[in-house]
Amino acid sequence: MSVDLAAPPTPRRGGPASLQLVRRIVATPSGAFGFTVAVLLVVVAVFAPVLAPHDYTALDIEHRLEGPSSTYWLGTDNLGRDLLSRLMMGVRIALQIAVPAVVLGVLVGLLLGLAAGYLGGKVDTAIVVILDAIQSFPSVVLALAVLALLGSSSWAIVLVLAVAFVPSFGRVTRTSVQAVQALPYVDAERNLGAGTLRIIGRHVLPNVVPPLIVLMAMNLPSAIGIESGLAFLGLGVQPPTPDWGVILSEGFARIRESPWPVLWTCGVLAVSTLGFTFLGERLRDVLDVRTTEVRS
Amino acid sequence: MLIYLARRVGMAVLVLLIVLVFLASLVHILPGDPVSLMLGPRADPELIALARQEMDLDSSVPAQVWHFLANAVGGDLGQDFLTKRPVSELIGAALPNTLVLALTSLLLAVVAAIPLAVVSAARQGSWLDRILGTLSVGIVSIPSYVIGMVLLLLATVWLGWLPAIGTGSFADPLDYLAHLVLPALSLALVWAGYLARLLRSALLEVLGQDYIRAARAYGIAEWRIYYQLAMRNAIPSVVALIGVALGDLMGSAIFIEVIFTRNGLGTLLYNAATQRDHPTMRGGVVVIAVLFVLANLLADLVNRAINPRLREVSSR
Repeated sequence: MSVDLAAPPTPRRGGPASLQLVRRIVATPSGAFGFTVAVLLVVVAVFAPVLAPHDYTALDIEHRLEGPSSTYWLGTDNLGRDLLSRLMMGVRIALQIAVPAVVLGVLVGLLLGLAAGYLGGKVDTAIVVILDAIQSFPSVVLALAVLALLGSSSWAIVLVLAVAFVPSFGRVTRTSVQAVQALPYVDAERNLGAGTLRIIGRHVLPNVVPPLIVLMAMNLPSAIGIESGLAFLGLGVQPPTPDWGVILSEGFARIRESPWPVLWTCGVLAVSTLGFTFLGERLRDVLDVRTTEVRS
Repeated sequence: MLIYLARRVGMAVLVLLIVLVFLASLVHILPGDPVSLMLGPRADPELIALARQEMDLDSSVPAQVWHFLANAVGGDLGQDFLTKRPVSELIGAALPNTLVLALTSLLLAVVAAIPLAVVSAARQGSWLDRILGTLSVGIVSIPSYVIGMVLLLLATVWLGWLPAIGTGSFADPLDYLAHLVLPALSLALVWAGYLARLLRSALLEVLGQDYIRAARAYGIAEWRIYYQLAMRNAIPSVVALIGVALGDLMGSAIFIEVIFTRNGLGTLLYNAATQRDHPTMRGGVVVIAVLFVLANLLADLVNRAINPRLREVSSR
């Protein structure tokens, strides 16, 4: 490997590429907000048992449904459990369901999108029709129908969410594959005898990954929203697990006695969905991706 | 045009078939038995057999789909498992409330989105534009039940406004309207932001064109340029999304109807799901899928009617 001495070293502030990426993400206020929220949520999810000020299952009936105090910073729920600790454990549960769901959605969507875009013809038509069918009813309704049939184990919830996200990932992949296929240099390489795997690995995937990353960041909040929503309806994660939806539904039942459980949970949900969405928006600018399909 | 219509309808029918096959095969593909979930693990075997027969679970998937379709054409969607009332009757009673809710929210959203879009397009890059932009992106991502619950807290618990709970009745329009305000607002907020954003970028694109410059040169009033000349070419981008919006609204309506204890398709589905009432569940899901497909079809047709350019392209 020869080093081109004539070329001046590109000005790089602060080392590795990942750090540079982070710098660019936090360069705007909403990007910084999104990044902070995402990091904070991951940290809380990992260290929740250590960080939580109380045992999230400990009952303190004397202090039930209280507002914020010096002992219970955010107040207590209907059984006198510490809301802050429960919400912190809730981060872990939300991510434990939302992240696998989105990852599974990406993998299946990527495969279907590759197949549709690369093989074309009847396979393409069939896959597009299936994706259309999945999108033809609201994901919440789909989830409701499936969970009513299956019971709400956490893998069922993950599966249902993943199915709901497959179409958006599949479409984005399919479109990129088609765009890349049409490029002259890809055509040239194919004529030179490059195999399918080489074309996919060298040309298709690098073009598909950035939009998929953006879409993942944008689908994560919907996954969290739907997951908590299902738990709120009693069809997702079940009590006594401190899922946000469970806390919300328990709080909602006693909303006239104390607004705090509902208020804090709504706040946490709003901040986390906002955070991931802003992060996604910023990533789209930083990675220079044009998403045609943002909502799923 | 006819060929286009036939293809669209054909596609819609195909999508519906896939939905039905999916619902019928779910029971077979995935572990977990709806009947034992519904009746409990220690149910009488005879009762289980009866329930299976009633829900047509022992037939093959194609047979189930065929039975369902054959009955559905005649307006028979099966029987509610618990009340034994026809599912079509339950849906017929619930659907108007949900449609009113979804359409009102959509109307509110569009009415709010138009001036917001004009204001931010006219002052592109101003602080107002940036705040509206951040807000609309933000609101889109917040789950509608969070917005609904905060509105409920604000209005009833703290301010003591409006009868927030229940549906009201059509017989007393004012009362019905009072019950509708908060739920419709909760749903509309999300889409108002999204549509405003969409319309803004469509407007900006249109505003850069020559005929707008010409209109300006003629001294036509700015409000006419925005609301009449530019809007006419920008609005199709919104119309194209109305089908998707309606589907999304019907989905979110489940949460909103449960929160505000409104009668409607959402509450019906919710009750059916919690009681594992398969026939009602399936009927409701199919009706929502049909409505969604219809709404998309309608949005497409309207779009072609108001946008001559689309017509030319496809008739070639």
